[in-house]
Amino acid sequence: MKRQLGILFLMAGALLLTNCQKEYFNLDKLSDEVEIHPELIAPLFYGSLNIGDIVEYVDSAGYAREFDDGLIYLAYSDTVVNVMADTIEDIPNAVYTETYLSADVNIPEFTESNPGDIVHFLKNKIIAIQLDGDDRVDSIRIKGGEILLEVMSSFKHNGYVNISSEQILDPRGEPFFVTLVCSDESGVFEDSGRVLTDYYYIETFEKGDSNVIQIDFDLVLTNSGNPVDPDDICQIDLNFLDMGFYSLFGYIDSRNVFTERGSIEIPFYTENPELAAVKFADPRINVWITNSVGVPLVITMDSAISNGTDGSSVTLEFYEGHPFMVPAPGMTQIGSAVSEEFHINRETSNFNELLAVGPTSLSYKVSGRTQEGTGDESHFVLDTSRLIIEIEFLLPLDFRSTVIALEDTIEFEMGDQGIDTSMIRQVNLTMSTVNELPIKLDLQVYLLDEFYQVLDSVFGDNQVLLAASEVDQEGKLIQAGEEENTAIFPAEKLGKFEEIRYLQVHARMNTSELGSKDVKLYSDYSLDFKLSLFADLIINSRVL
Amino acid sequence: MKSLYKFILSIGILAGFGIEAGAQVSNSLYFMQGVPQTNRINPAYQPGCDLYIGIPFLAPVRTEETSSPYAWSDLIYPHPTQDSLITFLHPLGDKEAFLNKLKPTNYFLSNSGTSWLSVGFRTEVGFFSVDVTTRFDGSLYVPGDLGVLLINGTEDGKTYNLDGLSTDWMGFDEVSVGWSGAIVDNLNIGVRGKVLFGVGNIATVNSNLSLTTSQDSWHILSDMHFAASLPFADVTYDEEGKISDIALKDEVEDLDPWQLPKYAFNTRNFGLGIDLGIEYRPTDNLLLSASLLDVGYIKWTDETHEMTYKTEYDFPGFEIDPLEISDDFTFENYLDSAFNQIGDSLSGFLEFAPGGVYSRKLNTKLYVGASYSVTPEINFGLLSRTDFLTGQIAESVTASANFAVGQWLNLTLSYSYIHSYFKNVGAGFSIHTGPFNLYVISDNALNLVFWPQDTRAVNVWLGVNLIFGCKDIYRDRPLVY
Repeated sequence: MKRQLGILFLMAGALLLTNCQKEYFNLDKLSDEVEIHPELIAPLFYGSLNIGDIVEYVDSAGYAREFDDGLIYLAYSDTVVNVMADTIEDIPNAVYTETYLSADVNIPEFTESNPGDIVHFLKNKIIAIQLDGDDRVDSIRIKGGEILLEVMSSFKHNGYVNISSEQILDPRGEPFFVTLVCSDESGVFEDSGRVLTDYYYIETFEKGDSNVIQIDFDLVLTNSGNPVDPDDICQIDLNFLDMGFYSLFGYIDSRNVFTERGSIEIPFYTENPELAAVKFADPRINVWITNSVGVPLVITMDSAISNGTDGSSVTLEFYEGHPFMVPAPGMTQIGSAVSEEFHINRETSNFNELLAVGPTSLSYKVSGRTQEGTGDESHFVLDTSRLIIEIEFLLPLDFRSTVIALEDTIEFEMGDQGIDTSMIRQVNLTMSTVNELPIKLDLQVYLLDEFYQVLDSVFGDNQVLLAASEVDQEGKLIQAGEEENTAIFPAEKLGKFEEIRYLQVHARMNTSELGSKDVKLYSDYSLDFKLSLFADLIINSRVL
Repeated sequence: MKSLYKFILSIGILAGFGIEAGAQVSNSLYFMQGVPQTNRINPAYQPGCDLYIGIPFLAPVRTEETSSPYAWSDLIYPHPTQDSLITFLHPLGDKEAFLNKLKPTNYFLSNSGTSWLSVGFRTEVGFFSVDVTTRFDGSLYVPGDLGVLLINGTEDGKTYNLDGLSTDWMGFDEVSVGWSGAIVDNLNIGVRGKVLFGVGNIATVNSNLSLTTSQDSWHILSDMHFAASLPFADVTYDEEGKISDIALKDEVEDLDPWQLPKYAFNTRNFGLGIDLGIEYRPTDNLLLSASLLDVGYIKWTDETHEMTYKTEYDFPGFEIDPLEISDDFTFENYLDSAFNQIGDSLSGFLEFAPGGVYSRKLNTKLYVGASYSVTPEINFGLLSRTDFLTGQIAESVTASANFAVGQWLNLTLSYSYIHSYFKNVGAGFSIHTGPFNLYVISDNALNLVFWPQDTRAVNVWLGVNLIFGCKDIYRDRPLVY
């Protein structure tokens, strides 16, 4: 019995103790607040930017290109001159008149003839094709145009006139021959006719100092028995109208062919005036001339003036190679064009002075003349012949720069909420770069409030964002530059983001080795980057 | 909302309390006198009565929940200054202590069962028993690094070893026939053959997973293989071959009594098992015994599904081309696209396949014990129990004192070392009145009384039997049962 009582005592004591442990199990008093302080380290983004791709992206206007070896250059080009053949030569309208006077008809063969007899009166006319100056025509393939034939006669006899020329061939190659009724017994006769001359061919022959053609006239009258009055006349006008040419062979005398003025805009400096400090190794103006006119020309560039961002200007002065002598295609190259390239660079001109002002535009005057004294007097011009002059302001990205300082202020606003720092103790963003560009970049971003007062900065002082690559003596890549930077954002700094209204970006760039040597930018250079995150967080259920 | 949160938290903690031992077995029962179902632990054991008939679903009903790393007080404890409770995740909670208790692999076990039929009777050739039991065994294995990862986050250059992250859930019906007999005067042996019918299973066949984090990349190495047999559910696959829906079959949801037997005794998920036992009494006072339980397996073939996740994935960050960002393709668009791509990539390694056959072994247990009888009413026992879990061996030791109070009451007090935890004090009683026998036993009974907040494991056996032919036996019983 004692034993049983003991057991009961033990059980009662246990119940009492159980009651004491209730404090652990009264879930009504359980706080639901949960808070952990995890750290998070993770890669965020990575990528590789190819310089060629960057340039293509930035250069929406298409100013950037690359040489065969991949060296990038900027080119601002313009077509200065585009001259058609008719600017150089044209065929003016002309009138050639042949007249039969009474004296020409009142000759024994006619006066002694009987009524009804037919008498021929032959005449010919030597004419020269009229062009400018001392131009000489050897042959022309006519394009379009017409020969208007006008006849007026007061002879009181029926008759007609045959007009022909061995130097004028129709498109079938037959000599020119036209018959016109030119007279009747009334003594009052007028008539006209026209011959369309497209693709007619005229070939002159030398006579004296001129190249001419001969036109033959055969007036045929049937004796009506009426007399020939002293003032009777028969006049035949040949009007050469609206003639162009498919081809013209001969000699084009020396003269001014064109004068053009224009301007090339250079946005590179307009948009980035700071880059005037960049020293380019091989800047140049390329002049491309394409000539399919069978006449050698002389091109002169006058008054080439670069206009700087500060309002200053520099006139381009040539040391050599100017004016530009433009050859012409030879007789074996008819229909083809010859091209010639001329370079204006630091050796041939004061180009350095021109670039030093950071030219935003280049204004110019270009004129062209046919060359004199070449000894070759066989020229030709086709209707398709033209002269094209293009200018290319070219900046190969082979350069050096000690310091380029860029600064920009941009609007920035996180919104009313800013960044909720209740869950963040610190955030570190680490950027690792492998840079094949021979450019070092120091970057600082200042956080400004609405009054442009500096609240804080993103990076530490003198922080290098990109290390320049190592280059050889030719400015080519040897070893990429590697850099790792961490931007630290403690909660205090993140808390300021709510006040930020502007970001002021300060960037300082220089080329490899502090700009002491020229470096080249090739399109296959890349910039690899990797961004990673470290976050020290507070996650509390009360603030979620 | 607060109540809901607490309810969910409580359920989560209780559910997470699992285990150890892998079976719903109380160590204290091993040396308990007057309990017929002691033969479940050692088939060589012969109850003191000629016949017992268990009350369906009460002979016994048993459950065990175990957590290898944590007790309640590791998760919830009083606020240091206020009259309230806080969790370890509270700002004032000790997260470091929480993490320090994590082992490389931590497990949570949940086992329960009840017998529909439990009958035993003595014959001239020995004692026979027949049982039909429904068992549910569940386990969750959590690598310690997972807790570190979730609470402390990611550390630069650290590899989080998540091998063994797995779960196993198995429901089955066990039909067993046992025999116990004397080979010689002081040596009993016993054997129980089991036929197993699998109701459902979710198994982790293989689980290798690691995550290495650094600011340069996250590296995921995974070789995971899961299998399931879900005869009671309709599993739908989408066009990409991924499971899109799992729903209970209508006849299961409606608890159709004519259909349920085919799920309860599903011959397509068939298994076999055996329990072995031995008792040797070298002297009148000393009893040496051993048993090996649950040596067996179930072959799952009905409505099986497999899922594998095998990959070696390196995440170096989101690849971005800043030049692609534009008004038409904003950074937000890019992030959406990038996350979708990663999601697709990671989920692309997840492969599902219907069908297949796989086997899962039972969690085998080995008991080795010795008891010494001081008087006919009092004996002391010492028991070693070894659980062979999935990739783990769990050891526990129990010392017990067993008392007989007259003919009608048996008591036991036990002390156990379980899951590296020393403060397990158990107790049990068995009352015998007329043909009725009632017993309740727990290895942690006094934990629940004195320090419930420190308890890592809870097990309870409750049984009600009708027993017959015990009178003479009680009078003539040996010193130790």
